[in-house]
Amino acid sequence: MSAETAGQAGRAAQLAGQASSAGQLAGEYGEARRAREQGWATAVDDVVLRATGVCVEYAGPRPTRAVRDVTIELRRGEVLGIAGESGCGKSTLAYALTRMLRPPAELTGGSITFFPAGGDAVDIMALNSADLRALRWNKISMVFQSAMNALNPVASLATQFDDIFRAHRPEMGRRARHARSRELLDMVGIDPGRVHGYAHELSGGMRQRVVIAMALALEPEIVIMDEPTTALDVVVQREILDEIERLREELGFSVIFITHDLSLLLEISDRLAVMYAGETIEYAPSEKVGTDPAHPYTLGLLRSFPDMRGARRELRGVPGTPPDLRDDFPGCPFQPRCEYGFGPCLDVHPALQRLAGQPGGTGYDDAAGHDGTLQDGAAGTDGWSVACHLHNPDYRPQGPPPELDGRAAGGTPAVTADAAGGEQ
Amino acid sequence: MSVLEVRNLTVEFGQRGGAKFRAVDGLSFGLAEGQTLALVGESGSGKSTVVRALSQLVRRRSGEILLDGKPAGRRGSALRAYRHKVQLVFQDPFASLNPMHTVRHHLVRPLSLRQGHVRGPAMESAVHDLLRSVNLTPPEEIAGKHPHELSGGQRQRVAIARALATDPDVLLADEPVSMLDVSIRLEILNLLDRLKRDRRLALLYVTHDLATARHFSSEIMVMYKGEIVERGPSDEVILHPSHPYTQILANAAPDPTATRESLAAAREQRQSARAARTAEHREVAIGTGCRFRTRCTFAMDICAQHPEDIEVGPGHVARCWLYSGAADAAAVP
Repeated sequence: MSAETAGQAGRAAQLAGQASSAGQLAGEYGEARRAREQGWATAVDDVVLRATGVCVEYAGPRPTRAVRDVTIELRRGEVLGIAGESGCGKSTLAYALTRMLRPPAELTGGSITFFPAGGDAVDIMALNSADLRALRWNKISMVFQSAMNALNPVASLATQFDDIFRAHRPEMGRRARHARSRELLDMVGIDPGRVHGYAHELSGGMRQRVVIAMALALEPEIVIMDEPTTALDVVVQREILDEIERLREELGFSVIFITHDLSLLLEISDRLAVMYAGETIEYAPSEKVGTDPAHPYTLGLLRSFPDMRGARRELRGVPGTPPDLRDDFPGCPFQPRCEYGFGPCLDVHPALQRLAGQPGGTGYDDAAGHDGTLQDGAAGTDGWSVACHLHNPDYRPQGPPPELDGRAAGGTPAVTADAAGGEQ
Repeated sequence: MSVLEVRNLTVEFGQRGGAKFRAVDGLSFGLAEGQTLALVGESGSGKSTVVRALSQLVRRRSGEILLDGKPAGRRGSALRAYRHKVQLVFQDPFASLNPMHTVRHHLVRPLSLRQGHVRGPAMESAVHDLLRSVNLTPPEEIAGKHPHELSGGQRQRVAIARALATDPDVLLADEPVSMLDVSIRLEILNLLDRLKRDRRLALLYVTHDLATARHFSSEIMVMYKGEIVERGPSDEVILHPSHPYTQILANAAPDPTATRESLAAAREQRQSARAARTAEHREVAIGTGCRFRTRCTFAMDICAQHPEDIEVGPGHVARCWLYSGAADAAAVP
């Protein structure tokens, strides 16, 4: 899909957005979500953020290339998951998207375009610092991993909410700011009376709720969440996730959700990008990838989580350690840890290519599975894509091994076959 | 037979303003040779306090700890002898190793405690044997490294090797993998599992992750606010949770096999359950009754009294009035 047609689609959406009131909009988003839950039919062209070929380097005698030519696309109203182990570049990518990187990190390439509902496409790379400030929090906000550190320990919550409104909504009066702060706390399930309290008076889960309330204070279109529940225990994590889901249905923002917990992402995200060594190595609909991974690393990550209710099985994880990102990889960066590695993995770098079984052109069908082979020359982000030679018929005419072949598995792949047996 | 027997362990901490905070309340359990017992619960439930009390890093208010049937030494050489046999692996391998010392130094210290002053090649080969037993190879190279030169998984292996250096009978692992990357967690757990079998260790695995607790332990104890609310064979506890708290824990864990519809349904159910309890309801004083009743969807009048352990299956015990017969049989979930 060319940038031009995307721009047109974006503008068409803006017109629609201008025509309807905010309330109607929220309703439409809810509608879209229901439609998606039933049939996975989202408007493909309604993209809210597109990043193409993003590269980030950390300066040094040998620069660390933390993000390498990553292309992602966030659609309006969806949750895009980014998964990977620590050091794979997922947080660096999140910072790059809003240009929040500080030296020694440097955004060395790529383009990032934001398509607001009711405005022209914004080239984030071209913004000056004043425009960037206006964009951040207002249109794209961020929830950080550690809520402990994200809140100011010596300022009351009211003061911190006030700061947001004073900076971004100077026209709001004191009363309006106060009322809005209470409303926001109430929205995330915290007693509005707490607005004069301090961070240390709240539990970890409550702090994370406050941080989410702050991120939503200006009704952004995109919220980037960097490991928002990692420090919390399972019960609280579940409450926070429910809260995010409810708010998203109500307010209709899009989410980029970053975590190392792949099993969590399978549940909450619509689509999923798996990163390894600074690259996206698989890009797939979440509902399918859990049972049908195409990349050996995704399979390894999935196997890293013991199934709580399924039958006991051998647990392996992904042996070995991630590569040094200061190096160049002539072949596949995952090759040293990959049990399926063969000839070309050593010296040919696999590109992200769409799997066959996905429709061609700009069309895209989340519901379609993959039959394990690559489509010719169809790179990009809008299908089920994978960067792995196992799926390339030129290198492997017999097709990928059965564990990675959606077709051979016939809908009941190895990972869940025994799980089904374990449930009575 | 249990290697380590704990009876009525109670730990209290002083608080500003008088009343003591009871972090662990009357815990009794045993750790058997070659077996893993998992202790699960949310943060603040007292799991780590149990570990610290067992290693005698915090003083217990009351209760007994028996090692091989004999009371654990509380001071001096008796305490040191106890600690040789009961070793700890901590959560954070980035904090539990001294950044100024090499791996060799970390292992030589406990080794020389055990073996007296062995020096030279004998000590070096003991260090190498330890490193090999935790799959850190080549040991010659690893021994000379500092912690910052190792990855998180390698550091945790060093911490495990250090714990093994005194040839313990009991290993207390306090969230040994929660700071590690997902892809290497299983390797460390598999390592602990193998060491447990090879060395006939009694292993206490403290975690908040029910899935790994089920896979790596034969028995699970569920802790809530200082009490064991449910215990039993691990498959029983996870697949057929009895206590309402265990049910909440089990339902909160992500389930990769769930469908969109089942997820939406579960979410709806949780929301209506939460809406049923108002905010102030959650924060009432607990008093003497069941500690979970303020969060419990099945709370009844009788829950104001402290519940007893009730057998719900073979070796499977829940501390909940729902199973006492005092409750309406229809209310049992």
